[in-house]
Amino acid sequence: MKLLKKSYVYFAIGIILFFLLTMILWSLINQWPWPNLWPKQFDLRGLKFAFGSMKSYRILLSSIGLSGFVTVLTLLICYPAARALAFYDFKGKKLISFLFLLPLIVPMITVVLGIHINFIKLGLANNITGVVLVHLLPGIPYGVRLMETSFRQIGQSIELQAQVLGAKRWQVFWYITLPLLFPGIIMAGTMIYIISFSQYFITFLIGGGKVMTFSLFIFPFIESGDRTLASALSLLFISSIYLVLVFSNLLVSYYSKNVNSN
Amino acid sequence: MAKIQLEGLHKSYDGVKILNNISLTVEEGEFMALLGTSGSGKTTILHAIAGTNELDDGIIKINNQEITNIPVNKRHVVLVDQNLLLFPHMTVKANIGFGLRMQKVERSLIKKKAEELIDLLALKGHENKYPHQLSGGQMQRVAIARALATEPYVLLLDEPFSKLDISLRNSMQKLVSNLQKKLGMTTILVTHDKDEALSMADRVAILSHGKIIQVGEPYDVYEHPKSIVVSRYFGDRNYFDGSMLDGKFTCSHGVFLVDSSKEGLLTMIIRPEEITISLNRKGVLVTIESTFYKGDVYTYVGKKNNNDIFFYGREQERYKVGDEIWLNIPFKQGVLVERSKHEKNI
Repeated sequence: MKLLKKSYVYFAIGIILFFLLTMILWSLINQWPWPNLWPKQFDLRGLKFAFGSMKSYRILLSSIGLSGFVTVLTLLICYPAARALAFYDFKGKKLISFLFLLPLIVPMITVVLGIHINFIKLGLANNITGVVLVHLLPGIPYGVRLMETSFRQIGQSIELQAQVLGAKRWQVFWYITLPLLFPGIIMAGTMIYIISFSQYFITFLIGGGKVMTFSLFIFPFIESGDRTLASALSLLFISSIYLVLVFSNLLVSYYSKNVNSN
Repeated sequence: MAKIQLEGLHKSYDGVKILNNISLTVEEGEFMALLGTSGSGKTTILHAIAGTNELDDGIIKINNQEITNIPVNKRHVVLVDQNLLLFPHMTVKANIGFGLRMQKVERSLIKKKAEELIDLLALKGHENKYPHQLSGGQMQRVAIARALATEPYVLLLDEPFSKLDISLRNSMQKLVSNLQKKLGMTTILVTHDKDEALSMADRVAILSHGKIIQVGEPYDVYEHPKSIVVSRYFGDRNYFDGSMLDGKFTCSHGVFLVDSSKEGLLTMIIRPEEITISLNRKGVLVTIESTFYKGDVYTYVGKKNNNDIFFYGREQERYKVGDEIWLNIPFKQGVLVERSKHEKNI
């Protein structure tokens, strides 16, 4: 059984590494014509373009800013919803809980095509506000579910206990709920960030090409078949997400070590 | 320290009455135990006093001032829950100081108070530990220290010892009991453990189906229950149905003179420890049906006319199942109560 488990893990790692290494290899190539098994010519053109030009960093930064903002906004929206679903009983709770999952079930394209028409009427198409609004959609199911689970784990009685000991509502939130919910918030936030960061189609449709994100930046290179540039930019894409994961892990472990000790 | 009055408390959940006209006064510095089975409404009373649940009707007063509409955090009433609910992200010291910190008390004062309580509750050396690093008894003491730190008017204890093993439970009971006397803090303890209620409290209120059915000193409620329901809380007892007329109690075992002016169809309660084994073949003849060894005594169940009679025996008079023995049943000393409508007794 143990061996089987181990081999599953190695298999998964192997697959990931295979594609990652292929991408790294592609980013270093100038020519790799068929039917050669090994690239004919290497050069740093791709890496220079991706990692050495201001343009890619500028787009990366604005994309990080957009997704960061979307993450904060989504978390703010999900917080009360998650809390209500975890702690309160109300009519239609099951239905509402299900509705929160809809963005996972109904394909985004169908929804966003409908939204697009209305956004045009409302003047929200082709601008950043519209893109931020539409980016809220795919993150909500994750935000609500992850935070709801965290709320359930904490339970409401510990908040009541703080109140009984004389804490005002904001003090309960600041000293009890927030620190206890922190790992859950970070987890949900990371998920929401990655989802927003990876959106291509909805950004393209609502932003009308006027709002540039990193996904939008990479796409033409993939489409035009410049695999070297596409791979190099994808490496930058992956690195930035990897950094976010590292950062969120650091935050959680910092929390459990230091915020803990108060 | 404060006097606390409950007047006509009512509460229903989904149409089921949890509290049905609860009225009770706990005097300043008194230790009151609310004894009842689960679902009797005892925990609901505590939460109503703490303000963590809303009442349908009724008034709660502390020192003659109504607090029913005062928010939880301003009541100066602290509840120690059976789950303790220590803040997992704070050290022992921070947990104890939490209430004072919320009141914006000066740091040096908080430190002083926390140190005082750490000493008082023998938590020295554990100040900087987190709850998950503590033993059950230590967590218990932190929860109590945290409650005491705010110097509440009333301390509410919701089955705080129910999750401890028996020796730890006994030592915690002693500790809390001594502490309560020392600080003279008005305390209400909710429990389903009769020994805990009897040994710790100044008075015991017995609850059943959302009503207080008897309040009194431990000795009083134990020795003189006012009803069969109260009596049943205190373990296996013997209940003899009979009738009283002109100071005579008539039951299936005979007619006995009783010092009581009650009349009518009644039940007489006789505790097992009041029954003695008769060596001169007088009294009531029973057949032993089962025996239980309990360390200090043997509990016997004797059968008479298809009814059980509970009594105790010392070790040198051991009897076996099937033995026939005579019992002295002191009908003259029994407690007479109304007959239960639901059950038939001997």
